[in-house]
Amino acid sequence: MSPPTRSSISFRGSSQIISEFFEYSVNSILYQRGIYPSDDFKSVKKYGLTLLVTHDEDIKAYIRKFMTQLHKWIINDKVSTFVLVIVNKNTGETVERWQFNIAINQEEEGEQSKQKSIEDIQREIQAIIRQITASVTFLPTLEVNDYTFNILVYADSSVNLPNNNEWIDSQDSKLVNNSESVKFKSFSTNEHKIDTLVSYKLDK
Amino acid sequence: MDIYHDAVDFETIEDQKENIEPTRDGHSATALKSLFTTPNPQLKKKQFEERVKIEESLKDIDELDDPLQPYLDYIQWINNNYPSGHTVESGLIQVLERCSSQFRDVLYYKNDPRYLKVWLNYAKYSENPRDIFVYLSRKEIGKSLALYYEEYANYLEVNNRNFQAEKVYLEGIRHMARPIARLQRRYNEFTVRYKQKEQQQEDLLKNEPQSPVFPVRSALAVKSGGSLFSYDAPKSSQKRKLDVFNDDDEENEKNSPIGRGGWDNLGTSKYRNKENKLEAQPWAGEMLKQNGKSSSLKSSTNKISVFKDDFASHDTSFPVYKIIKTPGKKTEKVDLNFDLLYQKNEEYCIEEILFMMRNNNIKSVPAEEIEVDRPIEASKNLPITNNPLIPKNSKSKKNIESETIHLQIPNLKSKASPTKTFFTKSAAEEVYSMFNQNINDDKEKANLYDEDNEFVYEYTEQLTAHSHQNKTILNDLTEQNPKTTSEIEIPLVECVVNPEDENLKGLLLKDLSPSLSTYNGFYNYSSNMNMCSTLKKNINLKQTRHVFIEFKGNQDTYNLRTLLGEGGYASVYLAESMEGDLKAIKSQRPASSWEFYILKQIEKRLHGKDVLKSIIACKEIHLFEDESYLVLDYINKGTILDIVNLYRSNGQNVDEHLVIFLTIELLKVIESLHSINIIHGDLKPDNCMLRFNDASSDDKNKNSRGIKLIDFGRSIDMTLFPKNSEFRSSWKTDQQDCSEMREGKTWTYQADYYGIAGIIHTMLFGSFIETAHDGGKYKLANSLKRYWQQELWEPLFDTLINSSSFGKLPITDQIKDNRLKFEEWLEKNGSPLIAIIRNIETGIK
Repeated sequence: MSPPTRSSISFRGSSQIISEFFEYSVNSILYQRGIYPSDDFKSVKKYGLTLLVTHDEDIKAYIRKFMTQLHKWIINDKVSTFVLVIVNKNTGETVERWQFNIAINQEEEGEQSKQKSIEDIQREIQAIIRQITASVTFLPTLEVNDYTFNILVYADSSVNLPNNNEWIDSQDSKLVNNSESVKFKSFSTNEHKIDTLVSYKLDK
Repeated sequence: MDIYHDAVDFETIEDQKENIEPTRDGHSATALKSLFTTPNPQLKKKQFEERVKIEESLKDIDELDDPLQPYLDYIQWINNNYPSGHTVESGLIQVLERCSSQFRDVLYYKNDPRYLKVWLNYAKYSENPRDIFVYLSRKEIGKSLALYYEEYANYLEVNNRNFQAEKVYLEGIRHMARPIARLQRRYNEFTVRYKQKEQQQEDLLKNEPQSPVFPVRSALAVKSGGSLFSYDAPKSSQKRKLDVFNDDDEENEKNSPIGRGGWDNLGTSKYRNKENKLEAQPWAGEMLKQNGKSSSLKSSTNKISVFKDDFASHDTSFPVYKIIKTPGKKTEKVDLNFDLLYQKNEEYCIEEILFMMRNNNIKSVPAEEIEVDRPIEASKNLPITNNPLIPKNSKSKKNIESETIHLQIPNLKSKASPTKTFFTKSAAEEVYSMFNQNINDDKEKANLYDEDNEFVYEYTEQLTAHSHQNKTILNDLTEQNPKTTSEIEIPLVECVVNPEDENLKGLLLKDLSPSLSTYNGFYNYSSNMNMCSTLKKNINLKQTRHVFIEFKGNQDTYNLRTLLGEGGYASVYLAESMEGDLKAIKSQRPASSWEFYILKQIEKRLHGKDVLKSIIACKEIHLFEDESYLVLDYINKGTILDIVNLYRSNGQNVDEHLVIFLTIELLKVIESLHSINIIHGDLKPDNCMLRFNDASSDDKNKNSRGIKLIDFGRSIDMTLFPKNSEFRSSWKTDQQDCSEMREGKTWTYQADYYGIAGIIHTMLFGSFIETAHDGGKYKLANSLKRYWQQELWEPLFDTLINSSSFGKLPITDQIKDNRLKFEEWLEKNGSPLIAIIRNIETGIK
């Protein structure tokens, strides 16, 4: 008797992967850079790594909120860049700028054989998260409680902003002065390619 | 973007990331890159030259306006060139020491933050940073800098000296250290933390050291010293446990800061830690002391003795191997005692010899105690030829043999049917079917009996000729023996229905009270959608990125990603909601809200029950005139069929632990469904999703796992039908349908029982279920494997595939009894289960 067959499904939407990656990256950065005290984080297993995500309800809700919006824009290809800036609470000076560029893979025609497996994507993401974690070695130590973060999204001018004041048009791109930049590995899904980069202020 | 191209690639640094020490100011990525990409000898040479140059410049330091600056540059240079902080190579501590001590009495640097930072950097490398802070306070360095108080307080707080930390903050505020605003803010933050801690761990805080944090007046010091001394006096008689370090040469005494009564000079870190350094001594003649007495060493060797074959006590006269020489062939060495095999011209097989020797040993024990006349050596010695026991043994062995034969004969007799002489399988089935007709089950009788008299309505076509035949036979039977029927409680069948009739379903749904439109998540549209075929076409074109479906009812938009499955009328898509959740959308043409009704009813009737998580949750339905879209939860952990295939691909059957676990889960769900009068109606391996965890999750609890039933399209809500209704299906049946369906009889809950049997069968055997008649009952065509838990499976299969024979359905109690037995077994033997599940979680995504 032939075995019963049915192909098993292992599919996750590309935009799903990307938003998830952003969410974990943001959490990792907030933890690694000491924006919030480490008590606010708990460890979870993800991408074969132990990552720290916040369990502070306010921060969680905030991240959740902009991630939801971001996700909608990613699905509709409205976003080209997603930026997390770390700002000094007192001076308002930007000291660090984490930038994620979202590019759309254009080769839609034909190349079905190039379908990337979920494992490959996971491995790429794992490498980036590792690099983000390791970046504390060269980034300046930040005092707990002196900094906060902000999210910038470079979106298509046609996007509809939700009818509340959560998103505002940003006047400046919050670049870091006297900065050095380090770029991380990139990862790609079948539909998107993500580049990651950090710029940081260096006192001389 | 410009900065993107200028940016340093992390990969150039990544290999060396462990060699970079995080610092307050960070490292320049460009510097790190040039450092890690320059070859080592070249780098060393360059660094050496640069260092010489810097050292040169330090000589002229007195000529400068700001003599601190060259040191700061030097430290910065070290920071850039030696990212791993202090090493022998970088000599960071030495430079910090030189810098800090050189300016310690220079007035205009006392409150220079740059100078203080050098000290703080130095404190980081110190064994006891508190000494440094105290020293700084004595020297009044950083007295009016907030940084000093912040760092000191921080250090104390980290070391759980909150009381002292508070003192430091207050001292700083008293001195109006700048920037005072920041210091004040830090202090406020600290007090918040302090209060929190106070509430959480009161006892701990009470035990904190409360000694002064800053140097106190010397008068007090003398006083406390005096009392300390007198307190110590009685202790001196005790054995000294700690050796107090004594400086052994006079010269050190002079340099010691304590010796001079003050801390004018902090000394170097090497000097301060001299107690911890062993002085170098020649190795010659040194002994490594051992713990304990030397005698214990000897005795310890006797503790575990190495096992040795006791050759001496054995008779070694016979060879333990034999060399067989056959002319023309290689000589063979056989590691066997041939003398044992061929005793007295008789040949014994290994088992026989083993048996003899065993018997020998067992008997020899009492022999030692009771039978004095038999020499002990004789029973112990191996050459059995010499042993008087052998003939006796071989006889007793024969006795046993003949006994077993005797035992087997009645066994065979009882099993064998008297008619079974020569027969083929089909002949046997013929015989069985004859039996079956005679001893037909009573319920079946009743059904057909009633069919003649009181039919309410029937949706199926004519009865088949076959069942007519059946009926006549039965009628004959009942006439012959009317007693049997009258004695048994007969469930009155009020109607026989085709449950698949869409008209009927429509009628039933229309008459619901409360009506379907009041259900949560029900969206009805009076328009045509006409999207099914378009969607499918687009999905097939792989333009998956742009297939959207928008429902006006609740403004939800879904992005369809892929086709999960397809049936005759329905297609199931994986869809991503705008919130990023994954859902399964079941589109159906023509529209049907039946499954929605069933799922919502289950949700309502089982509200709050744990078992609900084993049933697919339904979010909403969008019902158009022509099509319907059911939004369901998406489970991506595969089905039971996937498990079977996963094992099959490795050439195995599903592990029995896992089968038992899933069986228990299945039985639980079906018990609950039947208890609320719902029949699933289409149970098969691919309708059982797995409720497993992500491979990455740490959860070791099996209770968080289980199954999730899907596809309630064929389900039946018994409460909608008159009591004791039965069903007759119109679809083409196969082995996966219960025997009642296949034989064209009416059925109710049997469908689910048989369905479960089918699922379990697929898991155990890796093939679809097949049944055969066996003396009026059904049994599995395949026989259970010897090593399976037959005492569990046999009764379960018997119950499931002969559910009609119990009379009144559902047989939830019988199912539960079976389940409890399985649970009991799993409780005892379930330890490997979680590892198996975790393996599958990594295997099935």
